[in-house]
Amino acid sequence: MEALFAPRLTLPPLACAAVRLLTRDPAIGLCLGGPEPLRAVFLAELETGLGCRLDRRGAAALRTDAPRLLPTAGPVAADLAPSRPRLTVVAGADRLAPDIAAEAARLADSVPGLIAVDEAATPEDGPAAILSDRLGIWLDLAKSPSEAAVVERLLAEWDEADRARRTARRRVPEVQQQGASDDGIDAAIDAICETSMRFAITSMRAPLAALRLARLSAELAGRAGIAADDIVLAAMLALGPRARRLPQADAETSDREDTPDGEHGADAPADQPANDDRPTASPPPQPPRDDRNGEDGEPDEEPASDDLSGSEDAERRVETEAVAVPDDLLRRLVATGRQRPMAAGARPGRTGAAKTQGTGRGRPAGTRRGDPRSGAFDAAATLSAALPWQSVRHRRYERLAGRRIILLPDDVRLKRIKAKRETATIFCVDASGSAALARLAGAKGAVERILAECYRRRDRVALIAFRGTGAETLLPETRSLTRARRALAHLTAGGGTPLAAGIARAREAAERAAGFGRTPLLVFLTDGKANIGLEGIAGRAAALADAEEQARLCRATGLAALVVDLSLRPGQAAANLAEWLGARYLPLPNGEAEAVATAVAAEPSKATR
Amino acid sequence: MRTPFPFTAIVGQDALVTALTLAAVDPAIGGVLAFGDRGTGKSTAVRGLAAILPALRAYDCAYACDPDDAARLCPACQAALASGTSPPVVSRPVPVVDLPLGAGEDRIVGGLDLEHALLSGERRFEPGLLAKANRGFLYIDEINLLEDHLVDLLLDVAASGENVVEREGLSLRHPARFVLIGSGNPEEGELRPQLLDRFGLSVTVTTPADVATRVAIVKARDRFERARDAFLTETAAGEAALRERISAARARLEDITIDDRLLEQAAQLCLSLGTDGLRAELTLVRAARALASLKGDRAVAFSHLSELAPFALSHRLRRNPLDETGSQTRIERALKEMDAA
Repeated sequence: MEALFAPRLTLPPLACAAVRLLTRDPAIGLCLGGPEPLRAVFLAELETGLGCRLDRRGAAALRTDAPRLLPTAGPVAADLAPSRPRLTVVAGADRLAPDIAAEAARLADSVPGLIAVDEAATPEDGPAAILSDRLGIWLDLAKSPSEAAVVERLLAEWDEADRARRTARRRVPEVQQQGASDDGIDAAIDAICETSMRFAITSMRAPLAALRLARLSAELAGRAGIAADDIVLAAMLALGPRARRLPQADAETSDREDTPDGEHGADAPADQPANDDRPTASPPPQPPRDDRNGEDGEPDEEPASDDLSGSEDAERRVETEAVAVPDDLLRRLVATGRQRPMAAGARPGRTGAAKTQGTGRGRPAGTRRGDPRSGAFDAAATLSAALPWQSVRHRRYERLAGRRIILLPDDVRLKRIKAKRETATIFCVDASGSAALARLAGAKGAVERILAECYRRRDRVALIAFRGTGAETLLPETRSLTRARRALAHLTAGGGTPLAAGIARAREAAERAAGFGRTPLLVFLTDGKANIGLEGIAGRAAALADAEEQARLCRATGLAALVVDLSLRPGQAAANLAEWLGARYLPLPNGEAEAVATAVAAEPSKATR
Repeated sequence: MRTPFPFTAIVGQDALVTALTLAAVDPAIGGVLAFGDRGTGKSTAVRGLAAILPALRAYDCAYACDPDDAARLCPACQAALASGTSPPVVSRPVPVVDLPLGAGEDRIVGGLDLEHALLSGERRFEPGLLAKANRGFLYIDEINLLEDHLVDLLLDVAASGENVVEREGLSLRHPARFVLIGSGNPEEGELRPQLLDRFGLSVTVTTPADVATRVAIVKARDRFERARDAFLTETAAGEAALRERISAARARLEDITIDDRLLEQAAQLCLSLGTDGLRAELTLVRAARALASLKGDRAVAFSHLSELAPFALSHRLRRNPLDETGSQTRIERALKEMDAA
């Protein structure tokens, strides 16, 4: 059976290169993603290369034990050669709670050599940035870069240097001792910094890691200076995956040759989309930059970030209109939500844990009895509970008479923590052409007002827009109002109305939020006139059927929702949507406070069960 | 203990460097908040600063009590002095304590010494991170993710200089004077305005936008890692010079004069910008005085005020959360108006 899969389980050349580099310098750190079988192969090869077993930890086990996560800077365990630092593999790094991730990041600073395994389904859910920023290589085994030729060349070069070393039995001279400045190094630094700027990478750790990798690659190849190939490899491993902006426009002004002395490597290929933790909404097109970097014209297999080259539909920036929205709309919405608790789709373990013990963060709120392993031990309360019984126990347990205090399991008291129950408001905005014609400006205004309320309550907000053939998440859950406003301002309209896709995406976001212990609220802003189905096929009837199916699925999951009708005259389409969702229905007010108040007050009659 | 990256060799973060130097000259300014992207050298700067400051003369106790400051001694040192035996004086480096994000209250404030209590039944205080940070710096990364009640606690202690422990049957107070340095990425959540106001200075740290600076940073860091000794020797002179300047500035601080007219101008500026409360003016004037001292001037001038206005005021402007105008422009505008007047 394995023979069937064997050809698929070979590591791509880039991964092989990464293994060799890590074997040579494990301290560089790695953030590893991709399908599980490939990851297993990768780690096995790494173990073979290093000649020692990797120290594997799981995210769940790390919850309370953060200080013991990484080996201390003391002596290494006896079974390992002292020259080989131990590598720790943290599985499920994307599930680490923020405080554990911060702790791991701090320790990774002092004792480098950490591999974080990213098991998340989407790039938005990756490991906390504080941890991943400190890891040099970001590698996704599922993606195959197009610069395979460069990697193959380098691998061949390394093999040859290895052979030469073994036959000659002498150490190859170290790369570049400082003292004499070398053109190769300077040029390499220039190229790397330039590339990191083009990719809009803000962290300075990235170019430093890239430089380290380039040096390592040159060292493996037995060369004294850094060559263009080394830089390309380093960029592919350290810079490309961190890119927040892909220089598309330049890729199209293609076919510029590398400069004659080959000192500037090509940037990471355009079809390796960024492991973005901040997807941007239609970023402004880059003016073709006039600089020395030669770019190979890569055919865009996957147009990364959306519509940069401009779509056929008329895209218009829609201004924001000031609109009257009832101040406590959210509060009322939350009230409806609570009447229908999460049904079968809920994950009781995680939600419950977040409420009381799991995260261990929150205000102290009394004590309770329990097993010391299942919570935070409260010493004072335990002692207070034990003290009155001491004389009795000393008489009874003679063999323990030597102890000052005799504690029994009954005395153990644990701290109770009241963690805040947060809300996540997920806006799902219809950005199609029909909505723009109608009331998108008004919708933006309404969203802004609701955002103000979110700010006061310190809720999290997320923003999803649907138009054209599908939905996209403009803003993953965040508490930052500035980001929300910026994402909203960049919202452009045009195209068909893929309502079903929007609802599906909103439901996924809600489930993700619930998984983290937050109460999700969905706010749909649409006119309900769907004309694109779930698969992206046009056709009104199919689209409406798909939308209904998705909406009923939302309702079955027990999500609290609100539908704000964007059409110029409150129409049946949006009202139907509200009924399928089991949501409140609110026609977008025209700015009259009374009309709004009556509309909201009249909710119970319109909201159907 | 590895020598940290030299403070004077930090490239491209002038605002942060200035703010930290001022906080070192006059700790009463009240701490520095550094907002900005990840990987821009914030913690590097803090550690570098601590390394540059002269070592502390301290009693050999858990709180590094100051022998010259009899009013602020820990209970143990006080008891020792009262009984006539003075504790030994040692030399310690300026402490920089990192506050981990998951730290609970007992780890920060200190609490019951558990082992001791369980073994001997006596209550004894085990000092926490605040004790370690006394007379040094407390650095909090990702301060906008820290729990609200913890931030409250830290700011209270930072303001009063004393940690009052009243929990688990313990009742004591010990000195905890430190400079609070917070850093964070505003894109991930915002601090409440009341908390923002309690930080003295705020700096926005951005990654340099031009390639030349980035290249310089990478080269310096690379050099530091590969030829550490040579690099440290080269920068030693600059570091010593800055150390001298800071010591001299601290000594001169009390003698710097501030004109009444200048105080009026500061108040006028804060009025026109609409800052809430009086901390804004106090901080602005204190910081301006520290800057004057650092530069060797005898009196505070308007130029000092205007240079520091963004640092001291930009995080205190009351703003509509949906308001777009940046605080920087508002401050500049107000300053220009005052200049014209």
